[in-house]
Amino acid sequence: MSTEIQNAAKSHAGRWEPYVDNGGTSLAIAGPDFCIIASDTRQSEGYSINTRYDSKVHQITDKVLFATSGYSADGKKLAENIKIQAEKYLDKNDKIIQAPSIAQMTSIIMYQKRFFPYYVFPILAGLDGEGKGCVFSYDPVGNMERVGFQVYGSASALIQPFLDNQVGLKHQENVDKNRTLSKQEAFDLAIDSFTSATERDIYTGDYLEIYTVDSTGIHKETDTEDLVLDIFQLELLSYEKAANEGAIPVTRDLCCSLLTLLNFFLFFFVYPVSNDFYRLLKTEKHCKYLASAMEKLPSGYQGLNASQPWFCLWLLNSSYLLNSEISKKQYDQFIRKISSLQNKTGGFAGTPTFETDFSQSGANVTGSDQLRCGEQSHLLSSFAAICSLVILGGAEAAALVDRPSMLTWLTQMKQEDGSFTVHFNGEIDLRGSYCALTIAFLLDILTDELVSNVAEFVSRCQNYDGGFGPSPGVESHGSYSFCAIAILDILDRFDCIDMDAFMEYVTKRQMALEGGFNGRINKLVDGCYSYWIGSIFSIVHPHLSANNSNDLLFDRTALQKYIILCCQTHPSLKAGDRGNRSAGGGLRDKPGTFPDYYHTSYCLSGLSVSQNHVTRSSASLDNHIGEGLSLNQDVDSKIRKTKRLAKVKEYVVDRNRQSLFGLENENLVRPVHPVFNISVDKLVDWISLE
Amino acid sequence: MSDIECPNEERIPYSQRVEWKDVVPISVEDGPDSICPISYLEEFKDTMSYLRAVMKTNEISERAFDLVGDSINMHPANYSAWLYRMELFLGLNKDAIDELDWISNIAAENPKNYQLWHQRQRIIQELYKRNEIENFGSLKIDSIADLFTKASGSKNVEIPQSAGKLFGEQSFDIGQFFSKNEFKNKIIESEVNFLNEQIDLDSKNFHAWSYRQFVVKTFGLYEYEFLYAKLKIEQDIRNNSAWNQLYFVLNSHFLKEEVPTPDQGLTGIDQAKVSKESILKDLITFSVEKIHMTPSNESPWVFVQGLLRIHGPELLYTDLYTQINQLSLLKDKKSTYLAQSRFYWEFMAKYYIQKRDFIGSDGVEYSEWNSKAKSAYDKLSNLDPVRKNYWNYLVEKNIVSTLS
Repeated sequence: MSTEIQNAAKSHAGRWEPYVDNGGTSLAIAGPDFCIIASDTRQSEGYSINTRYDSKVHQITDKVLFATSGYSADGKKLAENIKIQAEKYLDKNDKIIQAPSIAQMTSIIMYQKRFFPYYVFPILAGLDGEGKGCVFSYDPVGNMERVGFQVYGSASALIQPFLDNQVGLKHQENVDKNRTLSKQEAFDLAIDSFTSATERDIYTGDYLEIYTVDSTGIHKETDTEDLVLDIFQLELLSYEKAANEGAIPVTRDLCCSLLTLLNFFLFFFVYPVSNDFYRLLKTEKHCKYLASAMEKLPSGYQGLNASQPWFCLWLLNSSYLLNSEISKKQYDQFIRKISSLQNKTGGFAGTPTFETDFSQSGANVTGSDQLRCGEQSHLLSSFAAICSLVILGGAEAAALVDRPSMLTWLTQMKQEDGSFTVHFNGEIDLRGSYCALTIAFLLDILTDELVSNVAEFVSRCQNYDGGFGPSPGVESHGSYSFCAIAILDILDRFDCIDMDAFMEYVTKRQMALEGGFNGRINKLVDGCYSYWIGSIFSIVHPHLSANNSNDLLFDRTALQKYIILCCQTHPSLKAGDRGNRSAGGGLRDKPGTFPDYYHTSYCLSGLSVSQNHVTRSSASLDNHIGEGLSLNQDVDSKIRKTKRLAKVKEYVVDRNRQSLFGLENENLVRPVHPVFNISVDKLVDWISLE
Repeated sequence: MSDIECPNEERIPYSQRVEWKDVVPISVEDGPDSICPISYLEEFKDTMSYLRAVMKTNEISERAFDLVGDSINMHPANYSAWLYRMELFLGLNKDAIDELDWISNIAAENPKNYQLWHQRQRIIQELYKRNEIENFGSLKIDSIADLFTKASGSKNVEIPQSAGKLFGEQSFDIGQFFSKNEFKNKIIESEVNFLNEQIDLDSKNFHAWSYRQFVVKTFGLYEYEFLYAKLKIEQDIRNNSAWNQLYFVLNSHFLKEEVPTPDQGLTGIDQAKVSKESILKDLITFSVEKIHMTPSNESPWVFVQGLLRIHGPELLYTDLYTQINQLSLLKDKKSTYLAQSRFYWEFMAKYYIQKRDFIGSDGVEYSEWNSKAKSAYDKLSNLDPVRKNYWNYLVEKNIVSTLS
């Protein structure tokens, strides 16, 4: 091998090569009022890479960029030349030179070197005098053309046809030829172009620089994430080394959390947080994601076969928060779905019951059979079904539930110690208690029998660290803490717990760097706790003594940053985050994971409880102290209704205390009642309908 | 069960099996024009629709037992199928050990499943109810000290100073040592082995630790569990599940009945003299040692403070404070980390307030302690800005503002 190289070197001896192709690709797309310019940073020569960090995009004025490909040195010289001319123009005329003038000038500069040209294929892009996006392309001797989009460089043969089709709408049938591209679409196309080109072209790669030019100026996105990742991996190695030397106990969880931290580091220090692309709640994409589930769920969701009301609730809740209406047809379909889950013996199952079998005329299932086998009613399924109905609203939804049999069944689930079993012979934990009480409250069947000892059981679940576990003695957990606090709110029984210890526990769940919550001590952040724990602060707020600062006791902006920046996927980023490969909507647990409907619902709910200040007005609270909630069935139903309405309405949205991260009008989601995760209006409508 | 054990064999759909000819399946799919239809795989549809059919008639038979096993393998979150499985297990008088082993196999694929843990619990409760538990061997558990003597083969063996520490340092497999050899009852052996395996796979498995508490309570394995929790803490000092388990055994056994912990048993303290206080003092030393190693680790801080708040408040700002203070005076690298730990400053703030209130507002040093506490909270606001609202709230709540 070495002799081959030596021979090759000998045969080239004495020859002088004035031109080198340094590879790389540049792209520009013009839009109605913006322009996107993208370029990779690999600079190569033959099969060698000279550098991975060579920028090919040069700024000429505040609205014009110049991207080159071909011979790197010539490109730089040419750009410098143009820039000098542009500055001279400013000096002489006291105004900034417009893009079309620069374009003409560039053509002249290049043609002047007709017989020893710059070996460059440049693209000039920016906004013209009228503020429209413009792209000019050149050959090496200065032939110029104003185009809508252009790709030059080693991967141009791969990308140009793709853009012809996607931007130029070539070879597409039944398309609106007058359609204009949105900024986000153009941006995504540029990313996709390079993502696929780097798969095939060895001269294009490493980092991607994308510039957006619009009326506000030039914005740069850099794909330097990988660079940071490299540095970080070195850092991790040194951690491992330290671990081997016994310096610090390093566990898998610790490494894992360090990797998660890396993602935040990227967002907060490498990417300017001011960048709109990341700060935006991608409402449109999320709505599409929800709509696709209502059409059809992929087979990956077949594991939810026994939790069917849950995805109804997640979808309805997310749609509500994003202010996206469901059609009448979908309303009817949801009603039909939920009604198919109701058991005659009370409650709702996770799977359609045999009574509502679609394929066969039902055989007789007696009550006692139902107790022992069959598609059993489940407290969690019943909870999700009832909440879905409240969100759906309307007389049809209210009339669907068989309340007397529900009460019978709930009473059967009730245990002597104040706990609930989630179904016949099922597990006993606080989830069951929360679901049972919520159902009973919403259906006006909250009897003394159901309520007795419930608060006492809750208080037994409080642990030494102040948090609540699922049952006495079991480790404290964010979601079970939510269940406990929500129950106490329904019952107005905050007297029976150690509130100071609880606050000590729950405030610590917010991660110092990430801003999101973890569910247990020393565990990792997870987007779904944004609601489970975030809502707790709204509920406990009026019960804290001396809380004059009047803000909720967590960092509301930090949580929103986590949800918007980290729980959404950003296809323009990669860095080991496989979740970013999914271009669609939906929110997720943490960077590195994929979106799903559960996390979408609870991340959005978390966004709601951190943006909106929804707490009980303390004045009304005084009426309740010590009184408890007496919704005894002996009391007249009208009085009960008034009381329940009053209780629900105690939660008031304080518009002055809204806290919003990101774009003013785009990111705000609708407020909810923190105990039920349903809007107060919907709850009021539901109760009024009875 | 046969299809599970031979995954290579081509699967014959239930709809094509002769022995299922008499059953009319009940579809799992909603009718046409439904919301959120799940695109079930064929195998799933086939199995579940036959399961639904036998569940509806509550058929108690061997073929139903196999079918429900097959369906749980495919879809373990189907709680109704687990209930039906239990009915069949009882109705067909199946062997408990076989059933527990079968569930263990399900757990290998689905450690986060709720139902399988509960099923194990129900089996054991059922055996108790039927008075059959002793059929699997004696429930008597040897004390740890006896086990050591037995293992070493001599009565005059020198017993290690701290058993937990010893296990940690030598990474001695305590689980194997006790469970594989020493449980006389087959059910206990099965459960402890299974739990140890699951926790080895995921040391913070919430369900596993929760079920462990049931097993410990049911069979009285407190001594064993005390050492196990300590071992798990030695293996991962940030494993809060293990810290919680340590509290659980103390709270439900050792501190309740004032019996010596295995550590104390092994060091040969005269059992009569063991008091609650000596147990607590041992634990303060244990926790402070861990705090020294990892000052930013929330687990030992909340453990030791929670333990003392509930079982010995008089030690909180005396013994615990003294030991923490000693740490801060050490001139090593770790003590500088301690001064950066928010947990340290939170503890100090509480200590200052306690001091202040003990003196009373007439005391000369009252305002001094008050301002010390205030500066601790200020320090926390800087050190831990994400909780700024909370620290400010504590200032409003706890600090007397008229004093400066």
